[in-house]
Amino acid sequence: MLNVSDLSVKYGYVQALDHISFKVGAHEIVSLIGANGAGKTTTLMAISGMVAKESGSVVFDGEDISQEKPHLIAARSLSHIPEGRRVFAKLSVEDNIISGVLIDKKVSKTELKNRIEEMYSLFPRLKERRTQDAGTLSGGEQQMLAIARGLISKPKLVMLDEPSLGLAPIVVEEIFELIERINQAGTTVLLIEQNAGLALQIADYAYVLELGKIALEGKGAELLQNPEVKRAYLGV
Amino acid sequence: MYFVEQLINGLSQGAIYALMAIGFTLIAGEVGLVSFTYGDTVMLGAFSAYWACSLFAENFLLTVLFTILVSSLMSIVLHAVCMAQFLDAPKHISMICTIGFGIILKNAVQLIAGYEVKAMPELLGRSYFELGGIRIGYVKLYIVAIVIVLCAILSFLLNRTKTGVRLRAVSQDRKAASLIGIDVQRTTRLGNLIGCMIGGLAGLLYAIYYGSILPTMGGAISMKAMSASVLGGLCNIPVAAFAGLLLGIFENFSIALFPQGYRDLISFLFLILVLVFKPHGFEFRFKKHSRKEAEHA
Amino acid sequence: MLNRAVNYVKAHRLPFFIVFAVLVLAFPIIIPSNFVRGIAVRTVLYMLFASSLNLINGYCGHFSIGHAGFMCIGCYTAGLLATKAGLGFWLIVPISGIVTSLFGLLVFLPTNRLSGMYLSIVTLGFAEIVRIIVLNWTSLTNGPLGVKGIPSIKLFGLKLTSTTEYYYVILFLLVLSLFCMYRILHSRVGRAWMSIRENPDAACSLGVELAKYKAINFVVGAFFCGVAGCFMAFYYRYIDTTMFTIDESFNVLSMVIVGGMGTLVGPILGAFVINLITETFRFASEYRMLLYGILIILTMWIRPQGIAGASNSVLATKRMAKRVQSAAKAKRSEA
Repeated sequence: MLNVSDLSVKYGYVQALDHISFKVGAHEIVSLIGANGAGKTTTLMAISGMVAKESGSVVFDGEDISQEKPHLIAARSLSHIPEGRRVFAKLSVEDNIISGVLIDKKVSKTELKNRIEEMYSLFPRLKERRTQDAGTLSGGEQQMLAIARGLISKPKLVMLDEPSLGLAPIVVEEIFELIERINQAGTTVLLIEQNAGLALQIADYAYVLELGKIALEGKGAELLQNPEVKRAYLGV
Repeated sequence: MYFVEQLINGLSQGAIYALMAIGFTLIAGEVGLVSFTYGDTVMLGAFSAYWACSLFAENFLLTVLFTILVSSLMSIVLHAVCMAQFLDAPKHISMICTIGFGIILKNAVQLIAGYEVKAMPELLGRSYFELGGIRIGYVKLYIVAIVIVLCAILSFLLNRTKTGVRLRAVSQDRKAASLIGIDVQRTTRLGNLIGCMIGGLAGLLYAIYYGSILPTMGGAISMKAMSASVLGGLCNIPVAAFAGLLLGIFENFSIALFPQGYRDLISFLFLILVLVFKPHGFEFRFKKHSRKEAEHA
Repeated sequence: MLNRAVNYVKAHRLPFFIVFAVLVLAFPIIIPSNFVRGIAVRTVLYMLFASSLNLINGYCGHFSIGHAGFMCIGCYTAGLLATKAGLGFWLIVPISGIVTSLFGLLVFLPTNRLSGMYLSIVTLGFAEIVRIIVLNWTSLTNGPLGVKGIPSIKLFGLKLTSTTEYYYVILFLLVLSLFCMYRILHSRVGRAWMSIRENPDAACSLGVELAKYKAINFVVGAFFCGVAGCFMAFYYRYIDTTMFTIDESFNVLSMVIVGGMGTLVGPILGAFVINLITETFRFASEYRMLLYGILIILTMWIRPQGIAGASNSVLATKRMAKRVQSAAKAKRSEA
């Protein structure tokens, strides 16, 4: 579904990404793990068109989106849920969710209502707080809100940037269960995570990013057993 | 009774200032830029109204429509020249562009209309009513009513429609909005359009209220809109409107205390006082914005 | 193409400078027209004004757009001292500078905690406040009638009368001021300023007291503006508040921007270019301001760092800014 080939990104004199290539197949969960500064967020930014690419191509669903503008990429059913959640703090929870589907003009009023209810059934806590300003939500709730915002447009592929960041372990588990459920419902997932353990557990396939290059790749379960991965990222 | 008279004047004038402050704050929030051409936008509105009067034989509705048309066209040019390319550039670049644009606007109007003061026909009539010995023109009440209606429309647009969600999202977090599919260019263009339309209408009301207009009136108006807007931290519309209202009342009462020439001084002093005591207005905006950008980078 | 020209000049600095210096010194002798000499005096005066603004805007990270306020104070201080106290030019120059710098301090005080936009707005408001007070304080300043009958400059007891003589005086003041600015910029103070400009937080953590150095910056910039204002009063012999409107603030600002903020050469070039254009188009005086506005916009589109600005400076193109921002973004998210 998503095919990234030979992607390079340079910030001034810093080579953030160095000719990386990876694939995300339909209905898979693919994880991209790595230490701080490895280039994970940059990868997503480059795919979404927020950052200029030095070279390489990004093909989504058969079409080349390498030169596409960010808002048009989102319109193609590729959802990017950013690092740090970035919900609209002064908008209500419901408005935040609605903002995720503004690109799709074909969504009628009734359809919009249905979709919002779907999101609320997935995230009952958000329903409780539907009129509250998003800025007053806890970290975990904001993360759920960001995901709801990303899902309401019914994307084919969802890219999550460090969803566990700054969240309590119990909340993180909830989030990851959610990710699996979303995937089972048919959405492809590209997951960026520092929390290598969880990321590898739910992944069908995974890549390890080190200093802008892909150092290792393999099935999620295999990499979990890989001694190097264990030493460097799993603290074992 | 003098007090009441001044209060009504103050409310009327304050309503116009509130409208200007709203338009200015809207643009500042949407585009992320303090526009030094806003006073000239209002001036252009006033002059469009003036020209419309001669073109349409003082028909109020047509004058309003003409003013809206001219302001809209201007806003699109303004956006293309000063904003579209510089959304991500250092702030002072677009600021200087708006300064240049304002100079062009002001001088273009001067070339077309001349340098002298122009008298504005009394579009809303001259009738008045008596209250305790003083005459209160209905015009003043109409102006307040018009501003209230416009505020209601804007409030509905911003808070109850999908477009409103779009506008508010972009003004809060442009990058996130872009990521979830909002066309930031189009939205800032729309925000600028609405802000300029409001400015143009404020100019129309200004012309009716004061009865005379000058191409150079933009400067003082910019300062007043900015002063009021600053109280709301340049991004809070209701607070800016309230501040504008307060400024109008304040100015009218200060006539009793200060000689005529110092009148414009009031708004500048107001501005500086606000900034001294509440350095970020009631909303911690521009600084937070850049820090937030840095944190969520 | 413009880029190449600028780079060529930068690479061959010394010969250009020598030629330039000779031309400047010999100017009144080469050009016999008094009218042109008058333009030259005004241009050099504006070079000094622009340089003083450049000191404030280009080196410390804040952005003043109300320079007319300082100009007004410098000018009126000189004019009033000359007509009411009968002091001579050379004595008034430093006094004018000091008075204006006190106002510089005054402007700084409320702006201390303000960031970018707010600070700029306050400087504009301040300039207008000054103008309105001066306009209305008739007992002190003669109000709208202005100050007239300012005497001419006396040098060693001799009255200076010709434009050429005034030209050399302002040239002397400019060179002296530039020399002082150069020394200040290369001193500890100047380095503190630039560290504040580049990264205030880092500067703070290294022990640079932001408030103190920002205050010094305003004070010094205002001082040189006062000096220039003094000359202005003695040259024009008549001053009133219409010379210090918002338009005048923007006029000087555009010289700094077009020429290049943050360089000593920038405001010189900017003043030269803008005055050249204003004078050339004097015949089309009504369209002059239009052209002027267009020039400012064009500069922002084509070369926002100004003629003398560095191409890789953070002031340069919007695309560069985007990359710098993205780089900072990425660094921080991966850090």
